[in-house]
Amino acid sequence: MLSYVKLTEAPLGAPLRIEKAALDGQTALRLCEIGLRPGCVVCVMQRTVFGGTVVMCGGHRLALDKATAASVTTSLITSSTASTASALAGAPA
Amino acid sequence: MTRTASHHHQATTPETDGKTLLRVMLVGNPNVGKSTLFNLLTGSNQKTMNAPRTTVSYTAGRWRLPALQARTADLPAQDWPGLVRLVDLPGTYSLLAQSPDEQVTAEAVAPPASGSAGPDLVVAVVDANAPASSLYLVGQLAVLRVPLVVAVTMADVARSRGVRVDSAQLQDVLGVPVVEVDPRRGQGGERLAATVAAALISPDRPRVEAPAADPGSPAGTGDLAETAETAEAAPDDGPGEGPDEEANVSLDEGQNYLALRADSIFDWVARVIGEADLDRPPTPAGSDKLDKWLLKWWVGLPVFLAVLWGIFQLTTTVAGPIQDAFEGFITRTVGDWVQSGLEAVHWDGGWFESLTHNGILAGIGVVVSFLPLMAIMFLAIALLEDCGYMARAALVSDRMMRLIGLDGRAMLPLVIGFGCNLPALAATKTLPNARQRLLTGLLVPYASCTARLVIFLFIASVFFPHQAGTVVFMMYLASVAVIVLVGLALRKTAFRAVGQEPLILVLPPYQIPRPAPLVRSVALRCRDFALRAGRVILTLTMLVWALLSVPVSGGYVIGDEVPPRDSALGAAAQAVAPIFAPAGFDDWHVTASLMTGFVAKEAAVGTLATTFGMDEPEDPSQPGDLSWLVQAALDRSSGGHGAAAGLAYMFFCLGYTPCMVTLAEQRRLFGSKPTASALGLSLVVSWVLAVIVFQIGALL
Repeated sequence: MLSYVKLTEAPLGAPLRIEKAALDGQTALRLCEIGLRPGCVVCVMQRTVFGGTVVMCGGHRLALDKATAASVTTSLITSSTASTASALAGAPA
Repeated sequence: MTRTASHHHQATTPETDGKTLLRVMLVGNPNVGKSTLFNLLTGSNQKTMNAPRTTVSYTAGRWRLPALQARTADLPAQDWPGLVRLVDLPGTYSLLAQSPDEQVTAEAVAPPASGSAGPDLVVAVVDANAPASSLYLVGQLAVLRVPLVVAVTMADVARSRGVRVDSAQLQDVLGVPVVEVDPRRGQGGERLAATVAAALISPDRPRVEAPAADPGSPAGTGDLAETAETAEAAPDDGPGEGPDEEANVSLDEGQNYLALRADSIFDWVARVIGEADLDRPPTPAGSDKLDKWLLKWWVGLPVFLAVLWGIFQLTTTVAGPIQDAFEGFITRTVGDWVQSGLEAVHWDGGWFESLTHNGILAGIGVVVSFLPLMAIMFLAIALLEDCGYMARAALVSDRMMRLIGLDGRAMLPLVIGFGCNLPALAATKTLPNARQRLLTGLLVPYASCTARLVIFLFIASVFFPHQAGTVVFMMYLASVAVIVLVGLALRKTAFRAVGQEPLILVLPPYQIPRPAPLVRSVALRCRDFALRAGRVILTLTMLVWALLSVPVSGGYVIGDEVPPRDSALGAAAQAVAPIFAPAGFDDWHVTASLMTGFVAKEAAVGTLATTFGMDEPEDPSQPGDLSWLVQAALDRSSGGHGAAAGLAYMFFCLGYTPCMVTLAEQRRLFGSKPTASALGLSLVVSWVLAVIVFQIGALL
C-alpha cells in the first residue's frame, strides 16, 4: 500500500518516489527537465527560510519554494529500498 | 549508434578571416563549468557582446585547434581552418526556452532555416555529478540533429561522492566522442581540441541518434530526421549549401517538436543513464552538511549579511585609496610626462594642452581609477559563484526580494549600490534571467552611493545645520523607498512577467575556488570594462571639457581660462534652468552643478563653488561662505522657500543618473536603447520627486 505525501510534508532524509506535480505546464516541464520527474527517487534534505524545501534529486540539490514543493506528490519508499534508506541515515535533520 | 548523413561541408572551404570560421558552440546547464572551460580554450582571445535585440550577453572567441588533425584526414592542409569561432552560450536546462537567456541559446543552436547561422558543431557540457539534466539537453540536440561532441565536467565532484564516471562507456552509449575535462585545473583542453578538430574534418560529423518517438504521441508518427532527409533529397547547389541542411526546419517547428518529444527524451535519458552506469541512489555529501546550517534562517541570514557587509567594505573602504592612487598616477605622473612632451614640441599653453589634460587624461584617469574597484567586484562575484555560495545567498534572500518582485540575487547589487553603483551594476550578472538583470540594473542607480553623500551633507548643512545628520539619514530611507516604488511601478508596466515565476533553484556543490581560472576571468572582465565602458567615459569627459572650455561670450578664445558664466556650460545651464522652476531651483549655478554632477556627483559641490567664484569647501559639512551664496540663490529662485528648494535639489540628485561611468556600464551591459530609457526614466522620476518635495515643502 503506497503512502502518498507532499514534498512539504515528507520526512527529512526518507527516500521518496515522485508521483505527480500539480503545477502549470511550464513549471512542471521545467521540474522534469532539471531531473524531478515522475518515478525518480528523491529525498528531502531540509526545510529552508520561509517554508522552502531542498530536495536531493540525482546529483542535484533543488531548492523549491513552499507553493511549488506543496504541489509535488510523492510516495514513501519502504523496506524494498532499505539500502537507500540506510545510505541516507546520515542525512542532516 | 551514431546516426550519420551525407553532408556537403567538404565543398565549403572555411577561411580564417574571422567571417567564415567554423562555428563551435558550448552548450550546457548553468554552473557546470562551461565559462571556465571557454576561458581555458580561448585564453584572452575573446569578446563579449549582446545578442541582437536583447540584453543577453554571450562571449565568443577564437579557438586554435591542432593542425595535426589535418594530416590524419584526407583533406589538404589548406582546407583545415585551424582556428574556429567558439561561442559560450548562456547556460540553460532546456532548448524549450523560458527566459531570454535560454532563448538566445535555443536560437543559436537552431537549424539554419530559422534565421540562425547554426552551429558547425556543439560541445555539449555534461555535469557528471548531475547527468540527468545535462543529458536531457543532449537529447534535445539529438532531436534537432545537431552535430556534437560531449565534454564531461565535475567528474572530480562526482567521484568524491562515490559515483563512477566512465567517459568511454558514455561514449559507447551515446555514439559520439566524449572527453572528460577539468577546466578549473586546466586539464583536458588539448584532448577536447583534438577531438573537436577530428569531428569537424570528419565527413560525417558525430550526431547522437535521436531518441525514438513515443508511438502514442502526436510526434510519434514523424521524425525531425524525416524533414531533414526530405531537405537533403532536394537538389540544392546554391550558396546556402552547407553542413546543416539536414535539419532544415524553422525555430518554431523545432520548439514545437521538442515539446512534443519531451517524454521520449526523458525516457531516452533514463536509458542512457542506465546503460552508461551513471545511476546512483541519492547520497548525502559534504555540501549538505554545510547547507544544513547555511540554509537555516538564523545562521543563513547573518552569514549573508556578513558577506554583503564584506563586499560593501571592499568596494568602498578598501577600493577608495587604491582608486585615488591610480587616478593620481594618470593625472599627475603621466600628466607631467605628457606636459614635458607637449613643451618639447611647443604644443603647450593652448587649447590642445587643455584638451589633453582636462579631457583625454582626465577620462583615462577615471577609467583607470575604476579598474581596481571593478577588479575587486569581479573577484568577489567570481569567488561567490565559484565556491557555490551565490545560489544559497539567493535562496536566503529570495522571499524578501520577492516582496518587491525581484529575484533573491538582486539583493547583492542593490546593497552594493549604496557604496558605488558601478560594481553594483557588474553584480547584476549574478541574476540568471535577462529581464531580472535589466530590472535590477535600472533600479541600482536609485541606491544612494557615497558620492551623493557629499551633496546631501553640503545641502543639509546649509539649510538644516542642526539636523543635518537626520536629513542625510532620511535621504537614505528615501533612496530605499524610491527603489521599492520604481521597482513596483516597473513591474506593473514594462516588467509584468518578472518575479512571478516559482522558485526552482539548483544548488551547486560547494567547491574550493581555484586561483588560475579566477584570475583569468577577472582579467578578462576588467579588459572588457576598460575597452567597452572606457570608450563612452572618454567621449563624455571630452564633451564636458568642451562645455567648460568653449567660450560663448566675454570675448575669450578656446584655451583661455573661461569663467563658467561665459562657457558653453554656463549658457546651457542658463537655458535649462527654467525647467527646474516648479522644483524651486531654477538658478543657473545650481543647474550647472547638476550638469557636471551628471559626470560625477563629486563634481557638483565643486561646480557650485566655481560658479559662485569660491573655493570648494574642504569639508562639505562646513560650507563656510559658500553656504550664504547657495542659500541666497535658492531663497531667490524659490520665492523664499530655500529649505524646500534645497531638499528638492537633494531629491533630484538622489534620482538622476549617478555618474557617466554608471551610464557607460549600463550601456556595456544592456545596450544603448535600454540605457537611454533608463536615463530618461531617471530624469523624469527625479524631476517629479523634486517638484513634489518642493511643492509640499513650500506649503509647510
